[in-house]
Amino acid sequence: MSDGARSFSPSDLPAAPWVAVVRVLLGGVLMYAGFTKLKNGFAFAEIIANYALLPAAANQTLAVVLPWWELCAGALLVFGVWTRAASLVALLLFGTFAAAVISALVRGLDIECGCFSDAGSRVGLKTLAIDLAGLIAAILVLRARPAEPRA
Amino acid sequence: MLRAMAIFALASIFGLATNAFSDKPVPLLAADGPGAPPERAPRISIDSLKTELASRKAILLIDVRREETFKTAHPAGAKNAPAEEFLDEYSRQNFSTLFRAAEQVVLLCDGEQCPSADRVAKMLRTFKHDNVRVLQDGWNAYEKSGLPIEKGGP
Repeated sequence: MSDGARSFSPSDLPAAPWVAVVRVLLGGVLMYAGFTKLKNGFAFAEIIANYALLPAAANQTLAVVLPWWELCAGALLVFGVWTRAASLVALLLFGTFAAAVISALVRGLDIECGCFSDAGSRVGLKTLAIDLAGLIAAILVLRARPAEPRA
Repeated sequence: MLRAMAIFALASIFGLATNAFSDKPVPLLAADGPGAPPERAPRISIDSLKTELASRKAILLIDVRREETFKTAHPAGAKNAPAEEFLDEYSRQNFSTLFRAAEQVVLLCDGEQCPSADRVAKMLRTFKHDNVRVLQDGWNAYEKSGLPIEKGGP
């Protein structure tokens, strides 16, 4: 670690062991979430469409790429490669999910969450809690790691 | 930041490639593909439902909520066919005959808006069932209406 030239900040502290646990858990959850959505792109596109936030083409494209965003970011987090970048992706994903869930709750939508496509759970406060937990975990991992040298 | 963008880009390429080579690719740009927002089916208010039930009209109530939720409490006499498994239930419970015998089919779900019931109604229209409406405000409205409620399985 040769970053002596930079000023010291708490985010430069080496990752504590519990951060590694959070990172692997976060990665595992993302990988599982992505994996369950791979099987049926059609069903997932419908689930996204039920949120009534985007036009058809965007929902369909998202249904195809979003599971892979989760899988890739999740795998990188689990294996500890490109950790900061992967946790930033996780942060953006969980932030967006939380915003979508809040908008659905505010509009009183009775829809399937689509979080883990298999489970078929509906959008509610529990869904929001999961998304917020993911968001907090992503922030923890992002902040706890020492900054990587610029790419 | 660059690496995060690289993750999004590479993962998107994986996704698009997998979709392109899959047996049943999602039509990405189709305006009427699976990602099209559900069309809003005709609604029936709880007051109209009450009046119609009182006039002994042959009304078939289909609860499209999940089985666990249905078991907690549901309209007396309602059948359960969760929206996600509707097609299976349609054949299993012989809805084709039941729907034709009914003067009016009313779908019930949980919330104020109910895209899952809208999708079910759309599917039913393709089966030429045009007597289908969705209960406005679903279970929330039914529960407060004083109409009879049952608990347990179907």
